[in-house]
Amino acid sequence: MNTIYKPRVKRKYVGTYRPKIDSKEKTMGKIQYFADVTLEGKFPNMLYGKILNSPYGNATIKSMKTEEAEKLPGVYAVLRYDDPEIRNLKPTTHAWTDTAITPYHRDTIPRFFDRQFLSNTARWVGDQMGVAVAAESEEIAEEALSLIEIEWDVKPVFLEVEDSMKPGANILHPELNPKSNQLILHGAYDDDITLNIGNVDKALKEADEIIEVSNRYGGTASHGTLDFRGCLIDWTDEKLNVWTNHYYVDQTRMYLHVHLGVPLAKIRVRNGYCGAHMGKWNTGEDIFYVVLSILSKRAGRPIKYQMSVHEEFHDGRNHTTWKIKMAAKKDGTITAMDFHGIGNSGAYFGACEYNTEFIIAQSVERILAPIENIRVKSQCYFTNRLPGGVTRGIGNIQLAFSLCQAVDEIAEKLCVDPIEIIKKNFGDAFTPKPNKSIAAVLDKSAEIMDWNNRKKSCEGELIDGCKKKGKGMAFWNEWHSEWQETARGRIEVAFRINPDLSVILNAPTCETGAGGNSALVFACADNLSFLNVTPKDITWIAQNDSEMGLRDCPPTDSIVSFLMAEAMPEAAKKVKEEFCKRASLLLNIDASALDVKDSKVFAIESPDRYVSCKDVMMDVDCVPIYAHVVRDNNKHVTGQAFMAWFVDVTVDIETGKVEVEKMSVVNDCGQVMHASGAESQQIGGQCMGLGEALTEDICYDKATGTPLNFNYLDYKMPVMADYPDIVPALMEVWRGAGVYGASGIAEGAVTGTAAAIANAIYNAVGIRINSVPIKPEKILNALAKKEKGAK
Amino acid sequence: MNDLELIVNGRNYKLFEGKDFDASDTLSKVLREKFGLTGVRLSCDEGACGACTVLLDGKSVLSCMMLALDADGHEITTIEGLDKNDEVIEAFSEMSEPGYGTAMQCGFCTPGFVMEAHSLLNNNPNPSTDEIKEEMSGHICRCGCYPGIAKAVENASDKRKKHKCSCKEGKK
Repeated sequence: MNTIYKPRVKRKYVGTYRPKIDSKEKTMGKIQYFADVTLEGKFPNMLYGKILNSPYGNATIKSMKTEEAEKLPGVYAVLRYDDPEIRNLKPTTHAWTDTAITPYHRDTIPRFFDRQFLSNTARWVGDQMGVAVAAESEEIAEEALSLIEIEWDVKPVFLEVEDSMKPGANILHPELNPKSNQLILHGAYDDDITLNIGNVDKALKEADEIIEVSNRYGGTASHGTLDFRGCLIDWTDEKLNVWTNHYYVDQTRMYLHVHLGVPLAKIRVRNGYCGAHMGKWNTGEDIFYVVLSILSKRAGRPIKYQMSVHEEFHDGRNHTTWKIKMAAKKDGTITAMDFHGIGNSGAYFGACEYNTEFIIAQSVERILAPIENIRVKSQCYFTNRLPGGVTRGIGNIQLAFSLCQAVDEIAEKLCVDPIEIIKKNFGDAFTPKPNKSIAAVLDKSAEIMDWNNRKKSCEGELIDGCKKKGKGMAFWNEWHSEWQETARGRIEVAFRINPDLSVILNAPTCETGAGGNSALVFACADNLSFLNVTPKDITWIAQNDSEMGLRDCPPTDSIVSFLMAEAMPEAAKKVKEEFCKRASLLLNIDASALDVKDSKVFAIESPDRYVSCKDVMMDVDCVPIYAHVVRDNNKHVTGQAFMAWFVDVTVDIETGKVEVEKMSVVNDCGQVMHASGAESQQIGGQCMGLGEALTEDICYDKATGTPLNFNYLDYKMPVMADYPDIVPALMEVWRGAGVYGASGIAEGAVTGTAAAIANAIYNAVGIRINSVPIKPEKILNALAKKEKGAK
Repeated sequence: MNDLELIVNGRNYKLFEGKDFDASDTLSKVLREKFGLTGVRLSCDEGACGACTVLLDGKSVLSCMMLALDADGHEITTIEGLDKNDEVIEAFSEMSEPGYGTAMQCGFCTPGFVMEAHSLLNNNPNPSTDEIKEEMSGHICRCGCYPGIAKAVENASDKRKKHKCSCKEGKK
């Protein structure tokens, strides 16, 4: 079926199907990433940094001998955990998210200062701690680390929440909680109840049906990007120069300023393109920036560090279990939800609380608003696992995995189509019920995926004697619209009009693949249509530079495309005003009586009196027109758009293999900023969604806590052969504030994939799989259990 | 001491061990560091992701998995050796057909996919969808643009037939 969307407002460039602005350069390999701009030949004096990755998951350094490493030819500096400069540093958080203001100034994600630079304590196998070296080559740096003798006090590891509570388990973060491994939340809560609306107990008593689910999502997946995190730091004189692939130069600058006390004017941070982000930069204050700075100062040389594939796994999807009790009346009204979120934070906070407390509190107004009785219990515990961090779809994905399965289960009990249950019971707090956006994305999906022909669970036909087909679905709110992005402060954009009317667009953001740069160029062209500007006439500045540029806007929640575009009408107005002002001297007409169209400034009353815009520029000896806008976000609350995932699966009951054959991804965007880019996010998000759902699985040696597959061979990400037929569909039903009124869709594109697959598996073979990845052995075990139960 | 003769993007080079390269250097390292050919991406460095793919006598190889010395006497084509009007380059960069998204997002893996597509089309000018999927599945695109990439390879194959082009790289 035809899924080409119809734009609400037809624009020349914004919202159209067209290639990305940088697709040719990307295809030809001309884009320079961090490793390319920091080739040895470009910094001949450069050293390489390495930080110890702890071989133990729960251990403290008793003593360390570094003499042999220091004597090794080619070693320039060794920085130890007991170095006074290191020990005088403040602790850090690794939970900063997408603002330049630091956790020392304000909570962004609630702050827990649980990380020290080069700590003497290792809390997971791979923890970067203890010691760092600077050497002439990576090989020498590695050899130097291997020559360091460390005497360890090794304690037993524990990977599960239950074990973290046992009496013998040592306390991993006594600075946060001296009594247990539970993270004490910032709110003063009784019995860890963080939210209590209405009367859940009463509603549960009065319910016609109650279901209970318990599902774990996370703890198994990483970002899986190819351009590994790194920086090159030159602090050989007063100035601290940084090159990095971090997604936010202003944040990196603030980070170094806060920890090293260097004035902002003496720190210059530069980035460019980054080979995908997927959330990994959100907790951007990686310790290596500070460690490398000190090493550079000590060694008197620029120094480079880039993670290996092994190190690139150093934070991942938060491990979260959601137990949900859901009560409903016979007519399909959900009367109560009782949530219990249990986060296995791993070795550090890593935004874990965000998943179990913050996100559900937000969800109440975003998606659960019509439900009258809601109670949430939220608990997080430290263990010796890889710490969580921010990963695309953070928090929402864990909650959706459990909630969408609960909806499917209660729908079956009530003999009501889950689509009707969702339409009846879910929506945001700010738009009328029933929510039009939810209805639109569900109906569209149902049409694409032939939902009306869905059979009851297990009633599908048997194919080839061993395969059963099933259909499943999930839904969620989009992530984010403008009113939800007020924490970003203000947004800066500038147009510089050259004498030939070509344009330099200063809309600073790191292009990580999110494609905001394309949408921004199209918006710039639309807004400067009075100069007949096309996207080809516009150069978007790809390099962010904290010394030269505007404050950048990090590409999270896929909001860059419209947040910066919303500032462009005002920038275009300023350009027009400046043309009129300059032309008024040439035409001898007051500027207020002039307008600009077709690259001409003309008298409104007598259009035959005009001067070309190019002549206006020449008259001032080519001084460009520069329009700079600082825009405060529009805080008008406009409610929420929604999205849906529908899948067809085949389950092989002999091998346990699940094949996703077809899926639809339907997003209400409010305003499509770039149709091809948006579709690319809908389709592309499924690489993480399908991978996490089915194959991506970080495995541990349980005795030592050693992760076993921190590489891209044994950690199985989807490749082309694994991809199903994906039908993307864009819609414009909901509308935000502003000229465009768009909503981000890319962050959320992964949210419902696994939940839809789990529901489709139930529809096919009648088993509920309560954790990801859904590997064949889980299917076979559940089928065997089901068969045993039936006997 | 081993000297090394390479034909890189159509030009002959002689490299001297110790001066221009070390015997332990991988081909990817030499292409990036010595020749500055940064379109040869280095990521996993263990043959899992395909980002470092180049053509050796017209056939795709993982340049992180072979020593530069093993390429002695061979013709190497990197992404920099392709013409901007090349059918595969055009097909990847123009991909915006409704329903397929784009053929890249961040672009990091793209040159590797382009070189793999060349290798495929050199060997099989008219691949089926299944053959494309099979051949391109040694590469990871974490942005997940597989449908757009597959469609781009199909389009490149069609364009080549239209232009009656036969790929020249690697043909001595």
